[in-house]
Amino acid sequence: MSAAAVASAVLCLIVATGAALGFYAGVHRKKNLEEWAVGGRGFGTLLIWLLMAGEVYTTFSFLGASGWAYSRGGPALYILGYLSLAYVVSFYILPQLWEVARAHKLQTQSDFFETRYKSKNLAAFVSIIGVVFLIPYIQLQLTGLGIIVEVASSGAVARTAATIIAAVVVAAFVFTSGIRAAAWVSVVKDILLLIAAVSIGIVVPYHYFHGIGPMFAAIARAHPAHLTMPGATKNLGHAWYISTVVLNSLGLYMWPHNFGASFTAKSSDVLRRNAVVMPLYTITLPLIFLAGFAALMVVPGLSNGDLSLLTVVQRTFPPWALGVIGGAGALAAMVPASIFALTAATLFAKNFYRTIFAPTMSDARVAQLARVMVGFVMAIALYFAMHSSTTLVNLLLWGYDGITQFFPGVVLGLFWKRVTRAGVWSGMVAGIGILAVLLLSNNDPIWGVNAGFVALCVNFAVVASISLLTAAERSEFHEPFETSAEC
Amino acid sequence: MATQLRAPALDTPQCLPYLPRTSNGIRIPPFVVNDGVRKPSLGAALFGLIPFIAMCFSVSLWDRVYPMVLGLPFNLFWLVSWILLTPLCMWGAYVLETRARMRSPRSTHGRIRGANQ
Repeated sequence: MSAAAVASAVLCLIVATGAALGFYAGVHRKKNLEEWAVGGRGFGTLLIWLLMAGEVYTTFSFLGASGWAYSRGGPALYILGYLSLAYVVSFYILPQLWEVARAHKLQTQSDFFETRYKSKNLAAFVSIIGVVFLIPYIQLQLTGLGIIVEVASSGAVARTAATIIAAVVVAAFVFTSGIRAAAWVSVVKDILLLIAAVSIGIVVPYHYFHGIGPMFAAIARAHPAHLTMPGATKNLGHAWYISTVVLNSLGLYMWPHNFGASFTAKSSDVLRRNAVVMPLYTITLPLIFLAGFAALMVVPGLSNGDLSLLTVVQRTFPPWALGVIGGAGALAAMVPASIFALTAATLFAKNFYRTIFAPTMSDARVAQLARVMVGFVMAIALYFAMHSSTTLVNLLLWGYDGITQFFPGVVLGLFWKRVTRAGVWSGMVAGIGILAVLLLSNNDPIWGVNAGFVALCVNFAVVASISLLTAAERSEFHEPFETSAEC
Repeated sequence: MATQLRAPALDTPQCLPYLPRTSNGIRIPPFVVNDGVRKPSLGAALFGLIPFIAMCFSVSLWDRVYPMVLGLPFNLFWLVSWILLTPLCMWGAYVLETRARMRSPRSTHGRIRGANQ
């Protein structure tokens, strides 16, 4: 068998095993809407840890992080900074969110906005913005899957065909099982990804440079500016690093799927303990950076940095190993893609369509519509994946720019009695408006600062000032509610 | 008080630290009625500020290649170290936060509200 055939066969085997596990996990479950979307609020510590970790470790960290280490250099370090700090932020907001979610039976982010600000229109607006910014995130996964299949088959399967296959598999996966399947597949995926990261990060530097130290010494000699900021870029310096790390660490749990996933914890204390240990999970990420930096010396001149990790693996390892690593990467794209598609579809059906167009729709019909929407969402993401050539990291940076505009509404809604509906409405519209102008006019970064961060500052200022100018409103979140067994 | 109290699950071995005990040594899980969302304690917030200063705001102090440590450029070494140190800070925050919550007047520590008054 040729190298490409071996690699592809191993890759298919791993994806099939992962998918079978997911189908098996979903098959005996009776699925009402809550079971399907939030897993019945009964996950234990281990499973929620894997679930959240599985969602954070995506194609973005696997191919995108190494791609930026290769093509941009120093600025890629923002990924290490923001992930750890996002868990720090989660310590101070998720437990409180969990408590109000349980007391008020909230399932999604827009439920939160509807209950806190008593506005169905605001909730519908939040959900449609959430869907809009989830689409580049799904696109990122599909593009990554396409890259994996293309490299593993040595170009025999074209990128377009590979991306279509990926979209169909992910949609089928969501239809049959829901979120529990994602949790179990992420167990397999996490183990494979860990093995892959360790072997790539250690073997590659030793194989080509006889050690990690000699590798960085060689890079520092050949590309003296590459390892620090702004690296190979002109405008991604320290101001950009600080603004991007702050923005993204505030934004991680504003993603509708992460927001919703925190509701599946057994108690608010589980979330607090998760926040303590979660940064340790990012310890595998520097190894992936090593692969990207090594590729700079081993396979210089790639047109697309996102190919660097797999190209260096292909150059270094036997074909079956490329298959295993590709398989882990493929599951790392499928799990989040299915969660994002499910989240976007549920948001659209329950919080947008039912709220605005059909208030009398039954839960069963909403679940039906959500399933149809999974297909639509995948089709839109597939369309963009086939017609765009942005780097994986840039796709996610845009996503964070948009999604973090929810932060003032969420965090002030939790902790500040005085914030009003009009304040949050105008802040969010101002933030997203400024962001749209800056992004569409190619002004990101602006004055060396992340455009989303500028929009967030305006957002905060508008929320605060309009809230103080409008009359105070009653907030159920600031009235007594019972929380049993705090720990 | 319109809110009804519900007995918490007693089989919660994960909530061992800082629970008060009865005279015969049984740990009492708290009944809690929140007066709305409670803010994190100041001490816990300060612990969380440490990783932010170290990994984010101080970037211009540590963003350099030399001295290389353990073969890593200094900036990468610094971030990796703080990935390991951040859980320590957050463990400190967790301890302070748990104490603050247990000390809170809203937490009745197993006593039924109004029973002693």
